[in-house]
Amino acid sequence: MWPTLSDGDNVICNPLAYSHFQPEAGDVVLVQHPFHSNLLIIKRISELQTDGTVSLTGDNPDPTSSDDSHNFGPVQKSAILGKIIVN
Amino acid sequence: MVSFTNPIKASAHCDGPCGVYDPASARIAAEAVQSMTTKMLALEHPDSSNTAAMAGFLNTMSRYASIKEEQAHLTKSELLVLWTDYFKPEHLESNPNLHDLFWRATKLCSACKVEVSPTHAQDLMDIIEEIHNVFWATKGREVPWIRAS
Repeated sequence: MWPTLSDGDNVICNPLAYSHFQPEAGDVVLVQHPFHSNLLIIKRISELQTDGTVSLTGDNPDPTSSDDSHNFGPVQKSAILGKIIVN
Repeated sequence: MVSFTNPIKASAHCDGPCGVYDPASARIAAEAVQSMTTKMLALEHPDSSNTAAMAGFLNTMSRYASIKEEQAHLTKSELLVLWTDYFKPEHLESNPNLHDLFWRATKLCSACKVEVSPTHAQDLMDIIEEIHNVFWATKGREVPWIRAS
């Protein structure tokens, strides 16, 4: 998520952000990685798909740098664990 | 419900499936370039009237040149993989001259192919050592520069 976030950054996550509201494109979110059950990742929502899934993207301009929906496809909304507060 | 005292750890990025990078592979190939350069310059030219000796000499020199060419190209390939796949935009913050460093290194690979030059061969080793130091600094590790030869 460089340049938005760097290794070692502490961020605040609101796990209730989507209890009553829908996630939106542009939101930075905490997500359960679809292929690794013990891995939590932070990505930005790029698109909400018509089937209800969510496409995620890393902010790094280098196309090879991010592990995101380009690699693992869109994720279920239920995989989104909260909204990251980014200044 | 929100914990400020026990932060959970999340990842913002992952390395690719392999994620195994090491400038050592470029170093080894460059050492071979240097070795072949030295051998080519040390090979003694036999009496040209001695057909068998000349055939042996030309064969050996050709093989040395062929290996120098292959290893210089391998060095270039290994360097380019580091440049394109390992290094990321964020590494430019601490290494603003990174692209120039790799450009000069890969051009030295070409120079070693074109010429039989101990100077170019040592310059190539020196610049790979610089890349070695930059690389391991990005991982926060001190790895000594050790030559095989």
